Amino acid sequence: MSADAAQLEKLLVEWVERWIEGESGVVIGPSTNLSHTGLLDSMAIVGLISYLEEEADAEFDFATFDPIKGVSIQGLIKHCVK
Amino acid sequence: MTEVTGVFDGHCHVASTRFIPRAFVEDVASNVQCRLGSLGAAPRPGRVADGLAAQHEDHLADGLVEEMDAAGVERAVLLVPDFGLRMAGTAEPEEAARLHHEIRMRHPGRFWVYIGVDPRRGPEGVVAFERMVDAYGLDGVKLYPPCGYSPSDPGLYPYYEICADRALPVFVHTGPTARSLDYGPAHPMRIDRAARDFPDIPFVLGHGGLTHVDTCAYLAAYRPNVYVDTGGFASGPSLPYWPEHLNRLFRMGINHKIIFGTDWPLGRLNGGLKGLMGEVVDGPTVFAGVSRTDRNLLLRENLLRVLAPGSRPAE
Repeated sequence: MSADAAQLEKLLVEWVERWIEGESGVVIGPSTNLSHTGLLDSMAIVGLISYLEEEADAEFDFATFDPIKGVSIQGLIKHCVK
Repeated sequence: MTEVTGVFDGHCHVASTRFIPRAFVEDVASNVQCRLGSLGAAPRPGRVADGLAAQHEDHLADGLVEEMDAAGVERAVLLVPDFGLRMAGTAEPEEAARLHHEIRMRHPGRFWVYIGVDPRRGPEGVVAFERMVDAYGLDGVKLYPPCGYSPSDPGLYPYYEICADRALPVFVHTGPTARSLDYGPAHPMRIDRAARDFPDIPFVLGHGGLTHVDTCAYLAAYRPNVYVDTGGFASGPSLPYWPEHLNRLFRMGINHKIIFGTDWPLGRLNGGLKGLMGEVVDGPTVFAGVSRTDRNLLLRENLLRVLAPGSRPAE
């Protein structure tokens, strides 16, 4: 993993931790399934992706993103920063 | 893990810009922007709308069918709101009906279609509606009162006469929606007169299991022809713990009147249909304390009961 990707992971983990305000009881990591019930809703995921786009200076292709297997920070970064 | 089979989803849309106006998407995005902004996390203006719009390119419903297959959803109702007199840019009702017919032909046995009508389209609208029903074998009517009319508007009664003759159900959006539309006509009590005047028509209160729940529940409990839809249950900003909410709903004594629906593509990013259905069917909470008989009513049989006999799948 590149340093840039590692830094993005760290920033996004911090974003999610701020969003949930410690209420979920789940330890957030780069591979945590964010679409797990009660963690992030669709609105929050859109916000997280927008934050990722700004930090990575890249555009996220929503049309080709497949969320069926779950949404994780690692997966979002991989899809956005190709 | 229990295999999920035979579920009917009573509330879906084709995720296509042909049927969902850009203005509607922008309204939804503005709420997302507002919420993110309050946390200091607002993206640049327009980005959320662009992102949401990019998720509305499933014009032939191939993506939806793929998700239904993955989630064990056998068949779904496609709702086609008529936004045309309030928001521009989508197919007119007859074109929308034709396109949905093509989708049904492409995916045989997977969809019912409820077409949108608007009482302000006048007598021509009624004639066009009957023509669409005849041409495409449509299964019901979709009303979107936030566009600016009551579901008990006398202008809808000619449509209701046709529905009564053909045993077609009427699905009525209730509760809040896009910010530029009207919320007053979307209160569930606005259905009461029409429900009394047309006792043979099943009226389904869209999102009734999510907003105005108490009102919708007593309408369903005491009006024999009023039903409640669960669409949007996983997407309400006040419902991060939706399994608990659904479980409370399913313990209100109206399980014979609740029709399960997801409102796909709402919440598409949040694990899609498979994620939702996995939690609903296999999760520990949604059906806790709910009998197997009721579960079958909720996930399948209640929808069949409101459909016209000709719309029901062969045994």
